[in-house]
Amino acid sequence: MTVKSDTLIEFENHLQTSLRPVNPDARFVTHLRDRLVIPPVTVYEEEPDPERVLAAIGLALLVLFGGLITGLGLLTLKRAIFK
Amino acid sequence: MPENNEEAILAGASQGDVEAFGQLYERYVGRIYNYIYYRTGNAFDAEDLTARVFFRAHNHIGHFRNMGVPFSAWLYRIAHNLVANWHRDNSRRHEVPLEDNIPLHHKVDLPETLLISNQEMEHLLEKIRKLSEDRQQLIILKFVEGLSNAEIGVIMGKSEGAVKSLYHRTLLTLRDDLEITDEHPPEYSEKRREENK
Repeated sequence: MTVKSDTLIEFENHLQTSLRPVNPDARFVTHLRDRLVIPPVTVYEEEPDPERVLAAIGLALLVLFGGLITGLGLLTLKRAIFK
Repeated sequence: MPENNEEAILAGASQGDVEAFGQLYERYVGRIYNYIYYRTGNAFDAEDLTARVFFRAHNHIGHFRNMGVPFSAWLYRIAHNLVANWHRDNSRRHEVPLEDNIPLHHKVDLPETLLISNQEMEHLLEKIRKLSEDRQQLIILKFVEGLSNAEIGVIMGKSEGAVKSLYHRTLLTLRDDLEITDEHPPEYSEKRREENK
């Protein structure tokens, strides 16, 4: 067992009164809490409008079939002329 | 906060409950800040490192439960490692003057008889920072955080007896070091002189 001398106890007391807790800046504490606790904002992509999707598909099919019919028509016409 | 309650909060936090982590943060931010403040000597780096401690804890809290140590001990270990890295990275940097960083309560809260001058405080902190890392940690946990030898032992990974022994040796070293430079209270030095007669 260690027996402390008076001066060592006094030195301990000196440290006790000298080394005291400090308070962190309240703004820092709040700001850091917000950064830790508030989840980051997630940006979701807007879901496409089903009506617009159908319209786009319809337009694409129209262009496709229109082109096909025009092509076939031109081909038939060519064959009729150069027969 | 009762231990059981902290268990429940820890369980929530480790499952991603940010509010639970917020409660842990509020409980420990002051203690971790104090530890780092006394180890670095300035508020700017103390804030930066405190933030890093909690972000690291936040990112790894899912793995914490298997470590077999109290949450506070885990936080102190993270802080200890970050401070050690900070000292290594800044080994060539000039020390920041301590006059501006002496806590205000040293000037206003204490009775006049207990007031110590900024210069004395500066010398004391200077001597403490010259101690080995584990001795600095011990002194701060003991005096600033007010922890018992058993609690310090858990944080430092030492037995209570080993902490007690290291504490005694550290006190003697620090006292003698301060005595050599004559940076101690007048009444204290008087007694030491009488003792040495």
